[in-house]
Amino acid sequence: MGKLADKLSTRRLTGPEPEPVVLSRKRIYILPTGYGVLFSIILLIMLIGSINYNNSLGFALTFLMGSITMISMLHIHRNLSGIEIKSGTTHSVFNGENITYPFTINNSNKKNKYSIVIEKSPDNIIIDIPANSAISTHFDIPSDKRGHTRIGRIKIFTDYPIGLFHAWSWIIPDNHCIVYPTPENNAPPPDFETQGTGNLLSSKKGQDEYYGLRQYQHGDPVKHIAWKQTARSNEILTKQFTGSGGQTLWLEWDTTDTMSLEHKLSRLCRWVLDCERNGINYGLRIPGNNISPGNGHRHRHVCLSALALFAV
Amino acid sequence: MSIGSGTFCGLVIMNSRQEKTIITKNKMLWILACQASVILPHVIRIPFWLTLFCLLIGAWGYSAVAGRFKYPSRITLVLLVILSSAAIGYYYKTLIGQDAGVSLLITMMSLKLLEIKKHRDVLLFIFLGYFLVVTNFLFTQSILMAIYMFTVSIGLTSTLIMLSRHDKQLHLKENIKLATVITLQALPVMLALFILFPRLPSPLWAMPEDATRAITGISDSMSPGSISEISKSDAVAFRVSFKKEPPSNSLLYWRGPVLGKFNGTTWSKGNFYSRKNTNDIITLNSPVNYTITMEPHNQNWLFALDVVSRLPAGSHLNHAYSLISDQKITETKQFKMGSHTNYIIDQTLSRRDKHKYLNMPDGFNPQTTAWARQLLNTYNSQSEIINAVLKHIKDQPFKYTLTPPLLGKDSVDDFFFRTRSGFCEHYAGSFTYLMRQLGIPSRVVLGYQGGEYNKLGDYLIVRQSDAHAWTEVWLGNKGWVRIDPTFAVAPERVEQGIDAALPGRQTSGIFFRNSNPLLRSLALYWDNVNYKWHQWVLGYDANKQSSLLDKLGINTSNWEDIAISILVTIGSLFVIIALWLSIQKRKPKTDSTSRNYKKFCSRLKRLGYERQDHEGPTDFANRVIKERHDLKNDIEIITRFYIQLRYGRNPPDDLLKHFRNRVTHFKPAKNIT
Repeated sequence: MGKLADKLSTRRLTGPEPEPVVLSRKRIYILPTGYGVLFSIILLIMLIGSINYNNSLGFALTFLMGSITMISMLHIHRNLSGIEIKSGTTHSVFNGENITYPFTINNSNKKNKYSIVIEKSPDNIIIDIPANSAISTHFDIPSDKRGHTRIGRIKIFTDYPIGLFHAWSWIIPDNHCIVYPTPENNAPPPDFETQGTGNLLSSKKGQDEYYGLRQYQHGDPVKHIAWKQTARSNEILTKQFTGSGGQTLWLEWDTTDTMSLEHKLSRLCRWVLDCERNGINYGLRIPGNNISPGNGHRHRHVCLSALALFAV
Repeated sequence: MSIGSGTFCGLVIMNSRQEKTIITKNKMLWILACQASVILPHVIRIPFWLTLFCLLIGAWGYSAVAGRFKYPSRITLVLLVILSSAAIGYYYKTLIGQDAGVSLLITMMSLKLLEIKKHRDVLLFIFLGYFLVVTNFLFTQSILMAIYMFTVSIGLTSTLIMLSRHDKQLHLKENIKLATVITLQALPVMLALFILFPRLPSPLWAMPEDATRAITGISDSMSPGSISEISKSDAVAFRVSFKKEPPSNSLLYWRGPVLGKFNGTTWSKGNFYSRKNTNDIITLNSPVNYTITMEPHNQNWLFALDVVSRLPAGSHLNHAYSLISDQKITETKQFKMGSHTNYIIDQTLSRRDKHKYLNMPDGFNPQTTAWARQLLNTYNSQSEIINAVLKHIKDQPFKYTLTPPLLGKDSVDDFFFRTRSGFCEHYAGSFTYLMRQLGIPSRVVLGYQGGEYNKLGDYLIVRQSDAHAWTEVWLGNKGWVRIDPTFAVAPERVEQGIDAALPGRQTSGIFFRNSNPLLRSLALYWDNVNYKWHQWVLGYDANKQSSLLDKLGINTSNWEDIAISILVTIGSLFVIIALWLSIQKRKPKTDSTSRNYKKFCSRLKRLGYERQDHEGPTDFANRVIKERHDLKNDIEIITRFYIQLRYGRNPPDDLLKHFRNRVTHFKPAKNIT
């Protein structure tokens, strides 16, 4: 029955919605739990007993328990409704690493919410959310495929207050990230020899030419940080050079032609990282995509994304 | 997985799913309290060793949860189930029926304690608890028990709430509060169901035999001492609401079993099998209509004002005009009936019956036999003889007492000539015997006489202490005539009741009827509440339901009508409660603490210090203080109070007041002074 309920309750989910997603009446489903079904059987036995013995207090208690069960549906609904969910930014990761999906759950109601379970199978988070407050947390979702990855649907449910009902709601966060290929371990360095002069572009005769400052980006070599200027401003600044390290390297698809596609991507990925770490200017040439040489965080992302999205 | 905090971090729980539902020691203690309170009312009914067993199992369960003792193995548990069931089966000689069934349920519920490790193990335990609460109502349905059991059920519901919360704390107060709120919200729905749910006029199937158990009350035989024993109890036998004026006290003879056979010591029913009909009664005055609410006595007979002429449904008259119910009275039940206090019954008597009503064992009471012969020689008519005997009892030093001396083999001789003291059974029995010696067909009638009028509720309470026995003699054309020899010795017994006849009598009731007036009126008040309880709650049956629903315009014979009215009522109650809950939800009222803090912030804003969204109260305060040293004191105190009120554990009660005061008086100057 759980599967059927899941199927029916996810039928209306089409795709990501504008955030924050508010759990409203229309998207909350309630069904009795297994214990709820058991309890109703017990209530039925109590009712038959009361009828047979014509026992007024038996009737009264049976009806009271039945009414409490019914009223608890209103309470469980109230416990879930009005919850707002807003996704944070999901950063790109390499395939095999965990995608960190941060989000904020907000309870704008006057009443505390208890035992709210946010489930991103197989992981779940159980929280109480005090009235008029928000809680930020995240899921670590393992990645298993390069390319665009959506967070997928998330189930939010609760059994509070009496555990006889299960109320749930689905949301599909408007959130995705790019999973880069797994960088190859122990990959050989890019082959400078075979590249020849046509590939190894040396600009300005190997002289690093300083041409400006920009804001520090994650991945910039530490030795390029302009410490003096940084000390004077609020931000960390990085020196920009044309042809950092005096070399410009083309990472070529064709140099790796004997390997499988994924292996190729994996190796290119490793090379991008190595170049980046060593402050080498690098360009990427893969079928259908030609990224001119550059350096820095953004460039790295462009290159890795190109690899991640190759032929998917 | 980790949880950072947003604006608040008070109640964040961060546990993996496995940890969160473990039963802690505190939770186990609460569960044990539930077990104890459910079992408590049953303790008087179940064998002593079972109570002990439950206590031991409870202790075991607790030590297992506390980690001081091992959980039983699967095999041990199965063995315990088998052994305890066998012990119960051995004790009750059966495993079915109410008593054995309840004992079994109690055992199973207790044994379930040995399996409790996580939250879900407790659910079944709680369900069994609810079930045991209901079974308790098979034994008693008094108001106090009802209040107790409903309280227990709130406790059980709060346990369910505890189980659905995923943390280690007990949250006892919160859970009980919510359970009470839910129960209160459920009450109107319950009431609607109680009133509207169709009641059946007869049970679905025959009740198990042990639904009946011995309760004090009149039995179907009489030997010396039997009525005086009953008379010690102040328990209510039945209550009567008269439609019009009640008859005078001396007419309030409540007819019960009629005894026609004497074996020398004991009067019993005898072999009479015919049935009578209300048409056999010649009525001489207007009828008295009334409703009797019988307390259960586990017998078939009903008590009716002598003699009943309009029978309630499901009853008949036996050979001696005693009212017999088709079903045993095992629970409080109401009967509507009518009686004529002036009547003639049985103008003719078959020869066979006449013989039976004159029959006596031979070889007893020679003195009485001689006296009878002497009386027959002295007087001519039966009525003269009877009057002479009554006059004899009145004139001679006969005594009316609850504690007469013991009588020997010739009990009637002893009574008339030696002890001359006794209770109504002695007078009625001996008088009837004498009548038979005189050749007058006669029999003993058991029942109640009199009763206490409760003016508050306008009804008559008849107690066991009003139990009485009198004689009926058959006088040809006049039929059976009631003669109460007790009246000859103690007329106040009949005119004013037992208390007037036997002052200073000790009874077993809580409220002595002859205690001080305040207690007495309290007792009557309480009895009135009980009576209404019986009438409207316990006595709410198919008849009451149809007459009530008719008044509301619901046709009870049409089940569709009932179904629709149930659905409509419950549906609208639901909408009301849902609306109520959603109104509560929608109004995020800021509390006094935040309001005052906002006020504080807005005052600082006027000075040019606006609190940024990312700034916590402390950061904000520090930033302002940096530039406004003169306000340091005020800002620090207000901020500290605010933090304590908002995030502190158990802030002192008067803190909010101080905080408000501080904020109100915080009027910073625009420039540094």
